[in-house]
Amino acid sequence: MKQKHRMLLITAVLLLVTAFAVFGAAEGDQKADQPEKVTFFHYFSGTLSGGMDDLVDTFNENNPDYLLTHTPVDHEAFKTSILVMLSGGNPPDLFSYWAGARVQFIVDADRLEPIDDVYEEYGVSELFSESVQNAASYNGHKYFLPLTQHFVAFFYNKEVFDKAGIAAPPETWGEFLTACEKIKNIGVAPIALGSRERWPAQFWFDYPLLRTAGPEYRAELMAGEASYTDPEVAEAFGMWKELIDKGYFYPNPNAYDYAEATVLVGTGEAGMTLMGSWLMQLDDQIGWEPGEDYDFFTFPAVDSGVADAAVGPFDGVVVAKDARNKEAAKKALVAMAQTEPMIAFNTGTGALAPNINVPDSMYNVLQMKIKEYCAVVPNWAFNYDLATPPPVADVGLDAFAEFVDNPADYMRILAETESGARAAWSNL
Amino acid sequence: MIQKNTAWQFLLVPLLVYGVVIVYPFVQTLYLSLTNWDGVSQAYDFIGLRNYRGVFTDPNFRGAIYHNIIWVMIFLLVPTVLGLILAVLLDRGVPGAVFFKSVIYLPMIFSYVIIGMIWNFIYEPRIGILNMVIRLFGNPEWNYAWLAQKETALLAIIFAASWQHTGLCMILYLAGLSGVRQDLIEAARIDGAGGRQIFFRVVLPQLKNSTVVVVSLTIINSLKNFDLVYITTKGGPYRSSEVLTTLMYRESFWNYRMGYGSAVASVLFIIVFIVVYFYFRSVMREDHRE
Repeated sequence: MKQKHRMLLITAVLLLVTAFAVFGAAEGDQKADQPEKVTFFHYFSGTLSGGMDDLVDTFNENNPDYLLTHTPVDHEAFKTSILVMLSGGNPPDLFSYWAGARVQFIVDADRLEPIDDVYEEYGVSELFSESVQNAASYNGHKYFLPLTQHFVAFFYNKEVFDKAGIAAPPETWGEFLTACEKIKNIGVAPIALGSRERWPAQFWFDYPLLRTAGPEYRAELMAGEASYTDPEVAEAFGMWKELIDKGYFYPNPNAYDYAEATVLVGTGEAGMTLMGSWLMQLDDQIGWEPGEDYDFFTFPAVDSGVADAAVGPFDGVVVAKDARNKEAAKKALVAMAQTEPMIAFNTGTGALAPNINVPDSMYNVLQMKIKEYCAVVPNWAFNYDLATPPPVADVGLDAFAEFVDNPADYMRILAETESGARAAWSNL
Repeated sequence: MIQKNTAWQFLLVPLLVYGVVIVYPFVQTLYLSLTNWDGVSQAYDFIGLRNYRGVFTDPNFRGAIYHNIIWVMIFLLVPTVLGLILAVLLDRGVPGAVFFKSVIYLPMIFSYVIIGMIWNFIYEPRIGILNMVIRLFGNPEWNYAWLAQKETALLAIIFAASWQHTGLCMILYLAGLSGVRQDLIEAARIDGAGGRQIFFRVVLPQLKNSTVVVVSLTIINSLKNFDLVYITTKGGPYRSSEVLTTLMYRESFWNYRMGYGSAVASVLFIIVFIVVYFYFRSVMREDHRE
């Protein structure tokens, strides 16, 4: 019996020691003389983490009352971790997210703090254009601070185009087909697509649809108000099919990722790739110079009666509704929106900094051309997987990957996509 | 009585840890499978068995379970039999047995992430070793994308997994062979039994315990595999290599359907549980009869 009591006593002491250790540590954090800790969890890892280090250091130097700490993780780890943190009621104060349908989803789930005051009281709204601010607005409030703006276009190898005798980048669909034929005739694959991760194929649906059916119809399709079996969608797939049937794509798109496809263009094994401006991050790896070795042109016009539209994503930062330090988090956002941090973060990424005051000197010649085009393009569309809710996009992305392999089956694929999308919509 | 209480006191901490780390998440998953939780919202509804009805009418679930069945069948046939054959050969003391054992077991020390990267390189269409060999000895134009074609993606992954799993089977059978009674083999030989008869009638029955472990681990490994599929194809192209674990991940974390993903996880658990339960029960009955 004595032994039993001793065991119970030991167990009780162990539990007490553990409890003191846990709660004592939590109390220790609250010491008043320490700077207030602000946590920032994001997916700007790899080549982008350097810019974020600079941004965080600058904030901490200028705001000694706060200690902003950031944790970069890769995209895949981020997707799961942030959901666990949000649902567990223990989110970081700030975290990165993808503008469009994904931010909309967590806004609707009531997990984000509106940041209208960041825009209005701290003057951040004066730092961004109206179209950029639209990307930050959900359900009538601002929730998102954009850090990067990327643009999707045809990036092409200038030497290949010269060899093929293409004097100027194509501006119409007819000129585009002629250019592809010329490249094919010199024994080079006109187009490289690396759709192993599925998403790179989506631009081949986004642009033909925008150029033929227009931005309004596309918005209806993305909102579930139109059908994937509509003739508008079939026409867009028909354009894509024509290119595949004519052998303009480098073989086995689903075997490569976007970087490998870009390298194919860099080495001259392919002529061009329809990709986002983030491919400029591969410049050093490929060893090519923007403007000298490669250039870009926008997706050609197909129907002159359809308004021009550009496709691309915004990445940025949001404040968690359950953030422990909302005020400090908002101050960090205000700091991030300023010119210097925007320069630090965006240099070398291929992105446009959403802040209108960043000097042109931070951009290379291609980014300057992109900036000029983005300033005049009348419509901006998020790419497919950010324009329609995630479970619907999942169905569509599979359809694009299947279409790449079986273009002849596209009517069946579209019918299956429609039924899959309907099922996904009904679960939302 | 004192002894019984003492045992419980020693078990208290491990049981607490087990309860918190294993039992609680499992019960929580079962509960979530009865809700429409999206994984983000604070509020969700209890929807009874609707997720399970969805699971059994979902063509993607049927596809995933079909792929898991193929995986189990190939895994039970190829690495298990190959592991047994290798174990028997190496147990006979062939020259360089230690070297071969090490080489065959080596893949076991790699994580599935490393295995996935190795086989991604082997299957690469342009510079992958497999296609280079085929180009060298056959069609010089050959550039087949093993992991990117729906006809071969799943089989290519299972082959890569088998490459690793064979080593485990071999080691388990080698351990079993070391416990085989030599006097019974000698007796059979004196009675005029041939090599094949000795193997099937004397050695193999004594390897029953090893076989229980090998078959159980093989079934469980083939049902729970996630890492390798995720690293190589993420279940693609267009779900042609989707298995239950990748479906669960996709629905829970990427499509914001935690309730549905939990239902898939629960079904997977029940399948594994049933398989293991019946297998052990039949084996234990045989033991009892003996």
